[in-house]
Amino acid sequence: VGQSFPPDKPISARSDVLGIWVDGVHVLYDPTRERAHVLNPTAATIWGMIDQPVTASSLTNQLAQELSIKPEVLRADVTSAVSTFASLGLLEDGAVSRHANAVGRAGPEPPIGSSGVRTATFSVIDQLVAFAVRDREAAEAINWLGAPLVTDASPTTVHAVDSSGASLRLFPTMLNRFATLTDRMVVLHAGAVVAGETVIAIAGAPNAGKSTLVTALVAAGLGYASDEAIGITTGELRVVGYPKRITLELGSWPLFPELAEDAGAAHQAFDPSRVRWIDVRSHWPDALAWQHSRPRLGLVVVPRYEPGAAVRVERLEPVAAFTELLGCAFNLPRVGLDGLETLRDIAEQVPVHRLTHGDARLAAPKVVNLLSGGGGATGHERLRRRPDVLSRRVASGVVLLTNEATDVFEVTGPGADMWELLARAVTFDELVARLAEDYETSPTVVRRDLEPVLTELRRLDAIEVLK
Amino acid sequence: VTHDLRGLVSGIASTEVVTRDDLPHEPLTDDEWARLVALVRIQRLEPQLSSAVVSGALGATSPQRSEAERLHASAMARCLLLDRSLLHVADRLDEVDIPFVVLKGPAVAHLDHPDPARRSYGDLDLLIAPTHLEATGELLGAIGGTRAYMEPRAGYDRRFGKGMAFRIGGDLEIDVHRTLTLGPFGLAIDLDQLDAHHDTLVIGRRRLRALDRPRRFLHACYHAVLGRADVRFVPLLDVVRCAPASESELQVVISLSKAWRADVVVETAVEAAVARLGWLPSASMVAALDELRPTAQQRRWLDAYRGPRRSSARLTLSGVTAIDGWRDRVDYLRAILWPSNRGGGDAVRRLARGARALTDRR
Repeated sequence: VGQSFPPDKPISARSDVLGIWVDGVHVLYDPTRERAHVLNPTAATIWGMIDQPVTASSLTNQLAQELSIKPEVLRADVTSAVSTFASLGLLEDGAVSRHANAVGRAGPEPPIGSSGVRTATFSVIDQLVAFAVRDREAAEAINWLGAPLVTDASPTTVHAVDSSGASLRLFPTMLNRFATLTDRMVVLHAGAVVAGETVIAIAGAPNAGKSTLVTALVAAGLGYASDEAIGITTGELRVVGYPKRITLELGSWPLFPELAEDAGAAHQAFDPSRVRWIDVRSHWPDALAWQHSRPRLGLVVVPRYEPGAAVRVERLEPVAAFTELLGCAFNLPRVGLDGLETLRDIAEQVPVHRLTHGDARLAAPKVVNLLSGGGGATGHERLRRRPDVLSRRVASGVVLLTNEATDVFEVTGPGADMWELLARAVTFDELVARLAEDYETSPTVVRRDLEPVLTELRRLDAIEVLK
Repeated sequence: VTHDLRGLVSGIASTEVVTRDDLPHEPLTDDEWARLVALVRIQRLEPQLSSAVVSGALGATSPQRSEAERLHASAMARCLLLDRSLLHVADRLDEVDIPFVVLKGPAVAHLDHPDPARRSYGDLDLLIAPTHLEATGELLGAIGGTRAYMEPRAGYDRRFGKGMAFRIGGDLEIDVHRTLTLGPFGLAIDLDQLDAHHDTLVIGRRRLRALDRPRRFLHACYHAVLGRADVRFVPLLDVVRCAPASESELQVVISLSKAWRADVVVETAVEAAVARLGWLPSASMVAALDELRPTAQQRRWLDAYRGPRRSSARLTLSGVTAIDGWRDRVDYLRAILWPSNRGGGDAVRRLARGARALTDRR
């Protein structure tokens, strides 16, 4: 507020800045600076008016005319908003090339070749990649590291790798960067585990404890999708895994005594002094069985490790969830608005929780509970069917179809009765009480039966929470 | 025990109208059950089979009961997908300002049944004004629709046709109607009267126009009597469900039946619903139906649809007598006897050959 801006200087919004509405709030994403900006209603209105060159002065007059108020009342707000946009680099002023994001965050771009020894082909999200190295030992090391990713398919690219000792130690990081190269889906910096048909993403920055929490969840019986990155498809939010070896810091090792026998499983070619690489198939043979299905994202957990902290969970509102997800997106410059919309859909449709903990093995059951815990609904929130969800009552339950789904879903048993009751706004506690009475059983039993159904209905975006 | 499965299908359909305690209480053999299920699916009576089994009116083993419930759920899943497709098409039509009226399945399910899950349907039907037919065809083509048959001559659809049929993707069929039925009865319908009064149905958040109840009843009569030679129970059930509920609605039905020369259609449809479903129309309806006076011409027309010598060519030629004005009759005949549209395909050419053969015999 109070910043000045020349009133007659032509201004216009940078055309490469992406805008999206999240839960009624306008958010801008600057792909060049990789920053997001949450606009208040006034700023959103002004941003919408500067897609063509204008001056602050003409903008003020135009807005005043539309709002039927005097220009001088608006001038300070408009000037402030425009100067803020300018200071954030969101206006066309030549300072930032609008084409900068066409290249975006560069992926690995080593020279491509096929000389030397060829490694196996590895499947990394949707990339099929093989490597050419100078000697057989380096190829064996790479094959060992990428063993869970090996595929029979032919590589789409073969990358030459400098396999000298120091460079080879960077190979695990280099392999991860291939996960970011896709332009067909948004890739989140997240570990992921699979419960039935549902994926729990463990999203966060490096050293947030993703791999440790993922290991704890896999040890608890969930499927393994990745400890580093997952792809998420637009629309359906289906998850494409990257089930590399889990990279577990030596500091986390005492949490998993069952892995003790694997303690020596490190390849000297990489850096074994700090981490170990775990092939989940050696310890949990069924951990990759989910790969035959196409599970959907059903929950996002943003972990934060604090030594000694008790387990705490906080559900994030959609805008906060969206900005958190933006920080975890690897390839937004590549996927553009589609990726942004995918993140928006996740923020609005999938429960996103911040999880603080001091012990991953204690936190793991809490994460599993979040998945079945009433879809994140508190007992006091008023829930209702979305009016645009189509449904029919049949003898076996209810069939329903949401606006975007490709499949019709069927809800049976008490869940079908719950759907009927959700025709009007009602709290989860009221639903439980009503159905416990109808079924002449305890509320505890009804709650246990209904929570997974409610979770699924919320994941399908079939239910809205009334504010 | 061997059961009359066609009679049993009729009995299952009639449970929608009357209480039946004469259906088999013992489960059918697996072979009979499989054949019954096939007939039920053809007739789209999945809701009626499910409720007959669940209520115990029709005996069934546990797996048969599960299959009946599954059939109903699958049929309703199909209807939900159709409803959503209807909303998408409605949005597209709105975008280009083409008014439309929803006919048959979705309209009857949502307006005339206490529970839409009691009415199964397999396609979408829209009534479009003649002036918008061409634009509608272009729109449906633009969203991937393939027309089932082409018009024989330019302008035929707009002036004489029943409408157009489109298939979109593998599953979705959309019938675009100019009028309610093929042949002379369709040509005799005054389109301004047809589109004069509407009801509103709601699907999701969306409000859509349907014909008003008297016109829905008349459409059900046309569909039940003229749609196919064999008995179709769903249209007959629609006749019952859409039956006029007040004196004023009855008067509209009688008035339009006479204006559209459809006395014989309404009379035949009501008789069929009574005979096949055990329906008992109200006394006021019976009295009102006495006012219908099917003419010899109407009976000849009906014979072209249902008689032993029925054929598409015969039906089409009969249409001449429903067209007023010699110039229009000439245009109509020229279009069907000497089609100019080479894209019309085999169906149009066969129809023309058949029609010419009939005229030669005369």
